[in-house]
Amino acid sequence: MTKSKKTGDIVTLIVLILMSIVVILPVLFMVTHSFMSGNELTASYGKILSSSKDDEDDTPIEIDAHLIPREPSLKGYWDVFLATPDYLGKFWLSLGLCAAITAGQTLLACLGGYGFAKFKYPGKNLLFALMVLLMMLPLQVTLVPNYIVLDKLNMIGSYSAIILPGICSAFGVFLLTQTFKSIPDSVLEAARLDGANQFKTLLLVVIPQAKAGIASLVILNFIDTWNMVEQPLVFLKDRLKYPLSIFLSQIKNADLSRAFVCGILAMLPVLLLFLHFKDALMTGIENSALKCGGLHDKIKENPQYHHGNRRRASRCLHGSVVCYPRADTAEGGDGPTHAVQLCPRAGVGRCAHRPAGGRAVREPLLLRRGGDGVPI
Amino acid sequence: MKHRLSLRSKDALTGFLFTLPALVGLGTFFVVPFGITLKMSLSESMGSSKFVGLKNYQDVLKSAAFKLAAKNTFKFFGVALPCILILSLLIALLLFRNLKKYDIFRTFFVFPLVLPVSSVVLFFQIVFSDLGVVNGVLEHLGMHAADWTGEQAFWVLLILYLWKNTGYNVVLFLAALNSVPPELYEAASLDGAGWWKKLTRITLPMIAPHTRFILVISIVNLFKSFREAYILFGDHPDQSIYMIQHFMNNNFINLNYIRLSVGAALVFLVIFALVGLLLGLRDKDEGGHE
Repeated sequence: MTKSKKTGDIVTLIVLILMSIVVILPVLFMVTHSFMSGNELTASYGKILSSSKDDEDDTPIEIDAHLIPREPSLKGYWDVFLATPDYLGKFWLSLGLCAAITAGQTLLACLGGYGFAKFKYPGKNLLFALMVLLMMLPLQVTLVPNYIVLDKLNMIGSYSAIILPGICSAFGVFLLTQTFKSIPDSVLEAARLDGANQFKTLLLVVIPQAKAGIASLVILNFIDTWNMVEQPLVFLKDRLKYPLSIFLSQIKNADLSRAFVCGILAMLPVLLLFLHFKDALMTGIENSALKCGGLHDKIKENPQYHHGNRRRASRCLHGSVVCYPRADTAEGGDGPTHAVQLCPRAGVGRCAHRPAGGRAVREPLLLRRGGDGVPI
Repeated sequence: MKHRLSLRSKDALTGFLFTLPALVGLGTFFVVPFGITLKMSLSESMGSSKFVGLKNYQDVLKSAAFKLAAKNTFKFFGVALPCILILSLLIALLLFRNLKKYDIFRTFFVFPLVLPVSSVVLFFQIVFSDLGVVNGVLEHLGMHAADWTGEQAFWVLLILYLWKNTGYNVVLFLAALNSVPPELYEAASLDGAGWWKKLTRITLPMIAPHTRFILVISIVNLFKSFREAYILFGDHPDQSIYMIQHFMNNNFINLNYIRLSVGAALVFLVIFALVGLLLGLRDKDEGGHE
């Protein structure tokens, strides 16, 4: 038993390591190649990447792919970061666009998410369904309507043509609605009883609790805007105004060492963001799915269920997401609870009594097929 | 009683006001102009708003370009969705064996999601070009080199899609696996259920609601893989990956707004049906819990 588990673990580890290498390889490749000299790159990949077809003579037929630089050089970095201001100019332009869109969208999403998650008004569900639909529409569909409006507003060609539609995104509202829903109403009620108005509640209670979700929205959004290709192509028209994401694909074949360093320049901000917000991002992604599992609804309706899940919650990857402390069970932990976990579709249910102060006692198992679980 | 009612309606108004900025923004930039697009799709031409019924739709549906685009898009959906669901579930199951120890791998798998494709495009060009690494390896093994930028571009796009989006799904599947009460597995073990039985009788049914959400996210991301296709293969790629997004984009460049609006309306219809199906399923499920 333990031996087979051990070999299983080793196999798992090997498979995971191999997969990770495959996944990370493109990045490693870019990083090591950014330190190669222009000559080395042309000699190795000139046949594939060089845009000039005239000097066929000095480019070899075979390509020579290798990871470790043979002639290490910082010339590419010197060119991109210090010698020519173009690249860094584009870099800051892209960063500015991303900051504007991300800030605007987060604000809008916080307000909208709070409204959708914590209030009821006629037609709300319909509007929310509409948002989910909008969220799923591919860019190519929304680009046409966007263009019509921006044309009427006389914004085509200016940066506001990219920023304004970017700010009004359904995804942000959707994600934060899901996140805010997981904050129990009792917390909000407590804040209201303390005399906080709605804005204060949102700012001081809801947003701090949903930090992970908001961080994940910020980073996902930032990445999306950082990588945008279609909107600037269609809305800007003036090539000089293009952000880094498009500028990059235009210069890529001109000078190989610069092209590789520009790749590094383009991945730098998202890499730093990722390393810094890694945990928040993962928790946020998880959070967006949790509501769909219906776990939170069960917790809300049935405090015992929540109690029975605390052990599981402590096992959870990043804590705070699955369960929030509830006033009514926090100190009631010693009382006898009767937790029932249901799995109606699997037809499996089990029942555990938890005597006061003691550990859970396993009851005889109730396994029913096709049944509707165990009645409480 | 009256007081309570007014409180409730005041609450409703506050909620509505909170959502108002988002609704106004989405309305001006998406919903209202989409209405205009729909109207345009039923008009004779850009200049005249004469109503011609579904004539434009007939034209587009008959056109070879649209047929090809629709066929390829559905083919890509049909191959990519099962691939990514199975692959990410498998990885999630592997990671779930020991979450603490394998946490670093989760980070690796999510990393491509944040990476701009344009920053690694050189890598993919080198790997998949005619003289590239993959063909080099294939020839070394005595197999025929394939045309990865032409006929086989479909598979390159699939690999790119899986590379970029599997991590997101793995995180979601891990959250789903985490929400399955471990007592169920203990119970099943006592009952003598094996690994396969536990997977099919407990894990899969328990994570079904999550899986639906993961499917939605995967579809959304699938439409984004056009960006990768565009960066790697340009706006006139090989026929095998000429997809609905290429159709739209090329009509945009040719300023053919009528065809464009028809295309937009058709894609919208398909997605509307998909979302309706998924949301409808969810409602049915939730009804089953009561």
